[in-house]
Amino acid sequence: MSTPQHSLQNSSQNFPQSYPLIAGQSAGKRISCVPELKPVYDRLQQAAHRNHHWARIAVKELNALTTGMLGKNNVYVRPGERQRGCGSEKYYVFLPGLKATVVRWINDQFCITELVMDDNYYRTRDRDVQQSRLGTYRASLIAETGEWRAEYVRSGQVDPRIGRLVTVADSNYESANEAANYSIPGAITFFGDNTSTVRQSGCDLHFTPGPKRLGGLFRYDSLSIDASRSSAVHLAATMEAASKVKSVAWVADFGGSAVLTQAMQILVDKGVSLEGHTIFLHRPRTSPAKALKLAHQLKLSLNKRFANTGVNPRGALSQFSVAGVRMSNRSDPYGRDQHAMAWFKGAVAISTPVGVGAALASGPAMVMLGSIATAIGGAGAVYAVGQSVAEDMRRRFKF
Amino acid sequence: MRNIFKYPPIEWRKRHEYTIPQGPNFSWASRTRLNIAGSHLQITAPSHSPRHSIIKQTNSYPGHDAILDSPAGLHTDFSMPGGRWGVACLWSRRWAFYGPWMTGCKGELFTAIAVIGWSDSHRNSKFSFLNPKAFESVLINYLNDRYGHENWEGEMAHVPRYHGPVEWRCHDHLPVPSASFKIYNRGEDLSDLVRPDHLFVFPVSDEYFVVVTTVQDYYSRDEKGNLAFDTRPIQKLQDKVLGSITLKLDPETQAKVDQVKAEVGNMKLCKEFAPLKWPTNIYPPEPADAPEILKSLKAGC
Repeated sequence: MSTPQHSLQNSSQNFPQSYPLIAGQSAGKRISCVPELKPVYDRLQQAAHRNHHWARIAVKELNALTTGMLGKNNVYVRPGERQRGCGSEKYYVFLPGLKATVVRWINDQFCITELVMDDNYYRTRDRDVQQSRLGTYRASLIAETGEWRAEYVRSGQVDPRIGRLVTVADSNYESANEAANYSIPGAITFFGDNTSTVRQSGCDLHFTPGPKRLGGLFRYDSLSIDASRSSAVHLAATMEAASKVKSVAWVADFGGSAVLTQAMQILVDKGVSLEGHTIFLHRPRTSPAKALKLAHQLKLSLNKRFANTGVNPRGALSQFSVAGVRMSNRSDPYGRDQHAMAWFKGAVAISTPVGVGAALASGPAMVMLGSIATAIGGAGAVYAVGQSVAEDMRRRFKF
Repeated sequence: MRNIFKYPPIEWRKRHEYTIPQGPNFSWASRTRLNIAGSHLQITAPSHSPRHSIIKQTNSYPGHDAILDSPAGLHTDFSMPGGRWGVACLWSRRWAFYGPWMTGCKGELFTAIAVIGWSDSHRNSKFSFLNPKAFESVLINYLNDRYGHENWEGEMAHVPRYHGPVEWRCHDHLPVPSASFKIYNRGEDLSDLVRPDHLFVFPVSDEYFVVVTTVQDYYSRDEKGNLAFDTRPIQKLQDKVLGSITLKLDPETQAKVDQVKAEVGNMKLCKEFAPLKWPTNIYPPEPADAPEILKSLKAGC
């Protein structure tokens, strides 16, 4: 119970109009926070002053709320439920290192009511922080051990080399080293047989800490995943800073596709373009179709194969759904012949599990299973042989 | 012996409560022989059982000699500045340790054996690695190149990423001088030393030496960030694996060792080895126009 004197002393603090101001003192909308959160915010600002990359991003984005919420229903600002009594609206802001709940009062001012900080950023005295922080890491292959070693980059930038590979790893790894050793061998398949450059000069890794994998069959829409939003803000800042570097390859492994797609959405919202860069999704756990549409908007230069969805029928379907968009885009190398090829391969990917399921259900399993695989595989093989013969003839007779 | 029913390699209930994990059984371990420049290095270790099967082991073909059977020599490692070292990884294994009742992987132990020599452009046959004093200075050069150049970049370029060697111990169970020590990963603050590389080094010939790198990875922490399991089983396996290393020298090399012994007397490496001054590459280049002034200043004091 507070005494009357106490409440008198604090009356100025309790009055919402006199909550400590964070931004918008002179222009724009006023942004305040509840008094209890002021020390937490100060800590964040301190980190930003100490030149921590992620903290600078967070403070900048929080201050950017002064321009209002209009059009801010984007990747990292999500509208929450409307509070019925007073008509104020709630928003959730996902940023590197923190998650904020912001209430928009009826007088169009903003107040931060909740600020959940990610401890990974502060426990400098605790163990293994430099391996569990969200952010950019430099990965190099250590010849003595044959394993990848990831080192945290304070500036959050990628190495400014032409044709640099940046692997966007999935979550659910305990350390960046583990993520590097697991994700880079997958991401490297993007280069086909020419992996020696990456093995010699290393690559960059975008690491997202978290207890669970991102995406999956039931969360296939990347823009609805909350766990990767703050990571996407960081990756978007990295991508924007790297836009001057030539031919950077952003390769997402597994659930990293969620982070990459969200980051691309942020860049599209900002109106940034990444000309000359390319992306690839290795075994994505979120929709490649969405990523492709964003890639076209960012003017990325794509390859014929844009995602390796493996035997995932949903991934194959998702890629087919954008085939028309790709073919009608002039700067996309995906053409009719590629589509026919992909169609056959996709048919195998989709119908083999279906066929196997049917065969198992209907009894004489092994015989049917073999015949289905042959029939479907055969059509694709005949087409491929035909293509290569035609190409050979074209070479020989120059038509 | 790991109870496969109680400690299965499955993670269905992720818990961060204190447990004693179990790893591979050392009594089923097999013996591997590596041939390096005519000498035989033997190690006893359980079979490769990593947490993620994507991580492969490194093996040498039986009977294949890492130096004599590769006439072109070792490949230069360009990830180290200067390109002074040729490196080849001959053998590596990873062993996962699991918690009880499907609580998942708690930690991993990693061991790799590599042979290292001068790269072709920096070959230096003036001294022999078998001489303990020479080997110490070679080791300093090697550690400076492998760890010393890494710093925290930008305005933190004076802060190294690694700290070591610490806990230096010299051994005499091999016919050549040998030592083990740790190199810690260092945070932005000196108190933040984590996840050391345990290194065990010894020469095998005039121009080649062996580095055994062992790393313990810990995967389970409670809310406070403290380890939520007993790391002793991991340490125990590490001690057993490292303790099983034996070296039988080539007769020629043995003769050289005896010769060095006759010259030097004591074949042991030094007892103490202070941490090296890292990073090695932060000193700004001296201004080109003022070397005389600098020299006079230095002469003055």
